[in-house]
Amino acid sequence: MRRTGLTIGALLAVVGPGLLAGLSDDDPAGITTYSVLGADHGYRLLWVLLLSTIALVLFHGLAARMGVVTGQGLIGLVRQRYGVRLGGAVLATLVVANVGTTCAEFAGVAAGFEIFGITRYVSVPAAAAVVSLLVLRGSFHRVEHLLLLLSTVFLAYVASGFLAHPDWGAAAEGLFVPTMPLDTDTIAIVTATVGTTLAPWGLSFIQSYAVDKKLRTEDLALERIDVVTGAVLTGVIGFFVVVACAATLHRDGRSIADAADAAVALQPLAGDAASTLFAVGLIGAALLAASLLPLSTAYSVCEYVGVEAALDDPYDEAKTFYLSFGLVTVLAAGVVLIPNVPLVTILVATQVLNAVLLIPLLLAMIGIGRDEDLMGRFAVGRSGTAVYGLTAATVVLCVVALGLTSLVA
Amino acid sequence: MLPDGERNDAGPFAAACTTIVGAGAGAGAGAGAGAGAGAATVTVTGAGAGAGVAVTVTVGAATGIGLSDAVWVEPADEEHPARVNAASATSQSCGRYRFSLMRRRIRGRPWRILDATTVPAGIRHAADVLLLSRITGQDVRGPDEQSLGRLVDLTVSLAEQNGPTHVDRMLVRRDGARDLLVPWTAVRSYRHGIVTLAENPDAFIIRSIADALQPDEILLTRDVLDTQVVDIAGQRLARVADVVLTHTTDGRLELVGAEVGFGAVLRRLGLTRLAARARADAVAWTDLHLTSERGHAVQLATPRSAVHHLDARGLAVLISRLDTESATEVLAAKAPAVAADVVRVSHPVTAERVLRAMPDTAAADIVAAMPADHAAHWRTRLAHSPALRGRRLLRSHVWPRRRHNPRGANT
Repeated sequence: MRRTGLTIGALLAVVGPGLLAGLSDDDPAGITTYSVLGADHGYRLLWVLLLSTIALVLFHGLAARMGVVTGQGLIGLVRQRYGVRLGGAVLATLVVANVGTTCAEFAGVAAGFEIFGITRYVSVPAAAAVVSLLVLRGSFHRVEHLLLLLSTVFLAYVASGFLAHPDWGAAAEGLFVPTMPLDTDTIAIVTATVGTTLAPWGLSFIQSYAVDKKLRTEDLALERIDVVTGAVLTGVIGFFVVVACAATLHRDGRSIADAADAAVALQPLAGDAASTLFAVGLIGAALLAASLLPLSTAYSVCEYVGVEAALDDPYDEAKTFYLSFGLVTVLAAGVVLIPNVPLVTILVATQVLNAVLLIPLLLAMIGIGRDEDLMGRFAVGRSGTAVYGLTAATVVLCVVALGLTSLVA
Repeated sequence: MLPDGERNDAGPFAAACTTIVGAGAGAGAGAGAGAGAGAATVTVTGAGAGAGVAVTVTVGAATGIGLSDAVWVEPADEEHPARVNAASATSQSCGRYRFSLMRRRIRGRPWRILDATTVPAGIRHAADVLLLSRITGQDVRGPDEQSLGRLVDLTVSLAEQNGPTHVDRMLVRRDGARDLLVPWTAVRSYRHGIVTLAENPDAFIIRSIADALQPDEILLTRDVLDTQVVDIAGQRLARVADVVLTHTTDGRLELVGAEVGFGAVLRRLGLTRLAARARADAVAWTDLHLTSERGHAVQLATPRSAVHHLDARGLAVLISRLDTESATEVLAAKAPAVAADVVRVSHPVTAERVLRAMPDTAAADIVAAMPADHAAHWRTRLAHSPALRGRRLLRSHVWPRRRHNPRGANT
């Protein structure tokens, strides 16, 4: 009657959460961080990206498992396991961080289009309208396919990396031999790399998405493939961004402020094609993340409040969902359109908030993952706890080191 | 007289509506008349003097139901027949179902209307209502008035065949000592936030709560509070913001229902002013299906639970809202003929998802119990292995933009 097992069809049925959540971590904020990492430090901090990717595999896998086993999203589980106060605090921080991150996505859209001479007063409202229509009105099957198709723009970064003719030997050494000067700037970029790769909203999104996709525990093996694929692709794309910038900007001693700078700066060094591909990748990444962030935020809010997120219901019956989605989109797009708004400050503050929020979120995830009442036979064992704990401790160390060095500075 | 569509002034324990139209639907009765009530009028008459007086609710003829039921009104110190427009009450509040504790402001006076079919007669005042979030954390003392620890959870047994559900035991956490699981019958007094035991607590020491619980016993904080539930009457997923209990005349605690509105969350956060303005929303215990692992399993194993009193449409609503494995367990607990009916009225995507998740033999039995044409259709459908294997993406039915109510179900 049914076919089971590891078939392409079964894999296709499962693929999505890990791939989209992973790839959307390569948003403009992420690309900016990787660009700065490459431009300022060359190849030598590539190992940070490798470790971040491993952390991404671990925690995205845990989030997906928690979603599949419990049938609930992350914020809902945090409320259930730790109560309304901690759940509320996490949600409030997540919403603020998500609004800031959505600002970064729309800023990415603006910067990407401005490279092609299109003003942000056209591109940002248009992007907000497009992502809203896409998410609110589209068939999910089509939306998912479209988002995955959009994700292919990330290949632009791979091409861009090759066109920059990097030193592959130095890149390999930087990837596998950890070295790091202990100064404030380096610690900041390392923390930012960890924080941007393993973003809090990505964790909540992948779990909600795995729930919504109605995955079952028997799908977990295939879902693991999805998660690993998404995380590895995220790392690979990050690798090529770093390599492209290291081979060009770092070699010439040039520094950049954001990803759009990188695209422009690449032009004389790697040619028009590399620069254009970089800009196209930036726009695509921004649109992908801008589609998912308000949706993820709205789901988190609804999970906490305890109402169904029913977009097919009229506004009167799904006010929380509509308002959350609309507010995040409008607020973020609006902020980007304010003349002379300190976007860089907002983006930096958002990155810091994301990194700080990551700590309680990772600890909460480990606590929930270990809880046999919630996870049953899929609860995380001692060895798993040690691995997750070590990863979380590394993130804590980064954030604490950043805090200390910032204070000293 | 309450004007049609007057805004609710729901208190913290009050459900947001006076949609009495569903009254009388106990566990398993499914959706009440509210869904199909349209612009029907609900008339509350007969309020007399004295708190807790019985009145009669009559649903207008437009509903075609002619339901009559008893409710409690409080305070009822003067004659106040109330007239409520069912459609407006439904649209602005919790919809198709009623709950026990409801309040409306009539001529500036708060009214509390209690549905006598689900609420124990003892609840006639807010003071009778106890909230789990306030009970937990309270001091527990021994017979000698020495502090033993704090109350962290309450248990209820779902095994009783009829009558109200009472709190059986309380879990007491002690500093540096093993937990206690104390029968409520061993409580001498419970007042001013202090629980005093009548017996030596040493007899109630437990090694592990998992081993100490009876098969049909659940913990209210662990398995109910803040967990997701399916409100069967309201046909929705919700999250329990608080558990409502009441004192009984014999000193026991009786389980009434669950608050599911955001107002209760705000109240627990200490934002009482905001909480007072938020819409309150509650569901009777008999209308809940728990989705926590133990709650779901115990309810499924308990014949009295709401899940066992649902008709095919009610079951279809339930399985559409549960995760796949829980939905599969619900369907597997039913006879193949009943399960076949559920499949027939379910959205095909939901039905396919659940059937595919079942063991081959169980799915084949259900298909065999269908009429021949349906059976042939489902055999063909299940023989194919579509890429998405019948999964609906997003349980909230966001995608695509259409509804997935069971065929013929009231909405």
